[in-house]
Amino acid sequence: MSFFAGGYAGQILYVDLTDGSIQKKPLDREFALKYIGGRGFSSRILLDELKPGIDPLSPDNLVILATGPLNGTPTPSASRLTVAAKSPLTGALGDSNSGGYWAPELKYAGFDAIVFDGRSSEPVYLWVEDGKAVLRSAKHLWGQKIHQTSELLKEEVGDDDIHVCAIGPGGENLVRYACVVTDEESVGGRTGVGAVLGSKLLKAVVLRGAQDVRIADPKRFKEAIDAYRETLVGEVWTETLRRLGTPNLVAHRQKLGIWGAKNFQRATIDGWEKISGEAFREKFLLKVMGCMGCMVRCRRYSAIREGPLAPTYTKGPEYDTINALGAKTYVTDPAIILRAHHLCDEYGIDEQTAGSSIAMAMELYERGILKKDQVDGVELVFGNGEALLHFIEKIPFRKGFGDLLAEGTKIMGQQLNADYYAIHVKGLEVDASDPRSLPTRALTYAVATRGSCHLRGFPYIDEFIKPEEAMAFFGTPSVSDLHGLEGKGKMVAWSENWVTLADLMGVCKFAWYRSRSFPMLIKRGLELMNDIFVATTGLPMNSEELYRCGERVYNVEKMFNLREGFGRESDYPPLRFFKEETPDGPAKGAKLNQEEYDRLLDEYYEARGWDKKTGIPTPEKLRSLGLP
Amino acid sequence: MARQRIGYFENRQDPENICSRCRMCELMCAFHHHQVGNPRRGRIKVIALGQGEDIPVTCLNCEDPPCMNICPTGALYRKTADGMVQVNEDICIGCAMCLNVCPVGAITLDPVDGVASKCDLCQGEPQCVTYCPASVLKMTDAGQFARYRMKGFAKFLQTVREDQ
Amino acid sequence: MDRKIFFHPERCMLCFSCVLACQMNSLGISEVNKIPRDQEPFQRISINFTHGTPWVWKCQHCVSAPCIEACVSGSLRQKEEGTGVVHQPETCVGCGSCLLVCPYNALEYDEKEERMIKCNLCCDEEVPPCVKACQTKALVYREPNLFAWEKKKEFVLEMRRVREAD
Repeated sequence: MSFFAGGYAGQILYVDLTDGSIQKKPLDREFALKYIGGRGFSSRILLDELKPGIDPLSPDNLVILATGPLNGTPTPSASRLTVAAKSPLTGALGDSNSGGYWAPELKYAGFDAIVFDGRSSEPVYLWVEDGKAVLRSAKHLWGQKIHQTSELLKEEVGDDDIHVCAIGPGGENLVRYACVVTDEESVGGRTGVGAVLGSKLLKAVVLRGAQDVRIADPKRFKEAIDAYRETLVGEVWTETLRRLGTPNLVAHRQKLGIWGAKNFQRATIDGWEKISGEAFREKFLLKVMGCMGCMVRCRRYSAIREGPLAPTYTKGPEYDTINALGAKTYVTDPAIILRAHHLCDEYGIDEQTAGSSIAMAMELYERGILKKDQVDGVELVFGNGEALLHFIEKIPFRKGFGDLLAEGTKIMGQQLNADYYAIHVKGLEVDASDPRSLPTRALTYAVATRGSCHLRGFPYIDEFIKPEEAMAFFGTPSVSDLHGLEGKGKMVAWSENWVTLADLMGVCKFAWYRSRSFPMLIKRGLELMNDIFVATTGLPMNSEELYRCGERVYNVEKMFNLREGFGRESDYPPLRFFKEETPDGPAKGAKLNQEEYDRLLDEYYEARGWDKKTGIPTPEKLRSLGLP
Repeated sequence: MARQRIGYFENRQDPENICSRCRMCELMCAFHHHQVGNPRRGRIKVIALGQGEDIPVTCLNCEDPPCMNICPTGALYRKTADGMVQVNEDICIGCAMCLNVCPVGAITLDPVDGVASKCDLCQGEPQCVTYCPASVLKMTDAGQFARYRMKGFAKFLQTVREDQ
Repeated sequence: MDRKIFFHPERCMLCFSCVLACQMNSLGISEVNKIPRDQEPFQRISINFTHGTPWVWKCQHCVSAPCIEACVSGSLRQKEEGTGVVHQPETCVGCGSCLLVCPYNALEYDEKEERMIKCNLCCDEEVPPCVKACQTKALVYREPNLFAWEKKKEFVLEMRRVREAD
């Protein structure tokens, strides 16, 4: 085991499920300094050890559960886990990020990451306790939903105080967007990593740890986290998150008219108040909850205690829940949305892709492209909450029309000759918002290395950066012009490298990246984070080098995607955003302009040091990052 | 001064004033005592009962502490300042008899040292209280806690009377 | 952490099955009617009364065991892996220093063999015979912090029952 003064456990667990062998490999110091942790480790290992072109559901795929050096310490909100693999949904790099308590527990159990290879001949789970790991039969767990899986494991182990990362029937049946769920509530949703576990017959990874996560300089550490916490007190965004959770964004979407409702046929929602953050708080909220070490506490714990869908107790909803299961499908009954959300968590499927796939099917049905007998005889129209619930129950088992829905929108588009209505980038469905009136967001979604994702970059900088700050930092004051496009490519590129840091450290972005002050993004996001990292690990590091680590990881991910055949043409938003104008609301008439977008993408590639035609990083850029 | 302890005060009408299971109390307790990240070395633990019920549990600082009474070496003694029972780690032999008799399971064996481990009110400034984001942990004494519950009960009686 | 034996006095019926099971195990006997009539086997586990409450006295396998420090012949040591005090009868000289310092009087002197006797946690057993024999689960074999955690949970459940009664 490699010795680190703090932060890192110093070893990575390698499990070959084909022959059942388990190895502990020391974490190399140089590797840690270059890639930090979390997404950095998983992306690099995937680039190094996967051959291009493999089937993501074959034994050749790897699935990696990775933590960062700050997981397990009292760093604010250092709760995040990365689960990564080649995605069965997109064929590109896939990773999911989730909170809760599992990532810290992996550190207490003595490991920085676990890498799974091969395929087991029978269902198994991995039991990890205090530096030791063993594979055990999961035959009795196969077929169980998430909650029951946990209960059975607790009984078997004889201990309630364990932490379970499991797949449900969704993962077992290789739904392409199956997810992993830790501690029955934290979902690693996107890109279908759960299906990779399912293809390996790996039902769960169970942890119990009592080992120290050392801290190299405790005095400096306490000063650093206290200073960090100070910057979060009174931060408007964190106050709003505590009060309403991410559902606070419902009002924002309506105000700007940027919903992707009815599969992006409507930009505003009639009756949106029924599914707003306020509505959910009033009707269903039991209490707010926080992940490990979090002072923001954006999670909701909700309950339906009356009516036909009672009793339903669940963590959530999130904004993305309401967007995918409510806005896209135009189901504005909050109880149905909450119930659908709970089912997705119990069966282990990504609610965002599930909602998007059902919404796409609804549009195809209304257009007559799908006929009633093809969709199990269900009246699959927008707003039909019963239909939504019906198919959420079918998808995890690939029953009836659920079998095609389980493939995701890209394959649905291919199989039904309806690509135009599949709203995705690289195969990952567009979430967050309709970016037709916000081209910078469109760029952010389109170039994200795991497919359409709003969490890879931070395009909101132009909402609050001052012209002087824009000049000093980006070399052009136009970055502060909200409606202009000049300098935005550069801005998005910088923001991506910067945002990656949160995923490397294992901290939650909601307690890290939000501010109305650009200098605070640097102070909290880079400088204070660096202080905490140095105090924890005792390793030599500074803000510039840390930023470079973010850039390095992002380039590694780009290289992975390029190798899998995702070139410049895959960095474009869906055709619909170029062809159709925003149909209603405050942004009515807006759509993306091909030339403008091309220029934006050019500027982005240039800022990144990537070839404009192919997107391939230039040799100079790679050398400057110490790559390949 | 009456004997001090950490008390759990929630307001079930306020979703932000109930334990959020962030476990910051566990983290800061362990950090304060051992300068590491390891909640199992903390002397307070959040018990999750399911369906959104999470309650932190720690030493009640009993008036007649079974742990102190049964300790064969005298390693458990009362501090003068706040009257909190605490462990003299140099004397403790790790026999776990205190663990056996504690009615609420507040005293544990440190997983690294093996000696008895319990709340000591952090020498006067309890870290769990300082860092709890839900403000549900407060230093209190048994009398105060009883008064708090009596107040709640009185309010309840008031609503009953008004119904009539 | 290694499991330890814990005792719930309120469940104890004073049936002495634990004492009997330990004695039989040490003699290698599995049936009660095979206990030799003239032998009085040593009690590695015994029951006494403390202020009217029955209490099981046995070696507590202390983490910083005073007996190990006191032993003149080096016959007492911690287990290789985990926690537990192991006694090696072969090298023991029977001086009784360990008994002098033990707070639980958990050792006895064997006059015939001139050596000490103590609970060796029946090291190879999954669950020690004393625990297995207890019919009321007054004796439990549990990892210490898990045992404490279960008590915390019981306490909280009880508090919830009280609150719901309001």
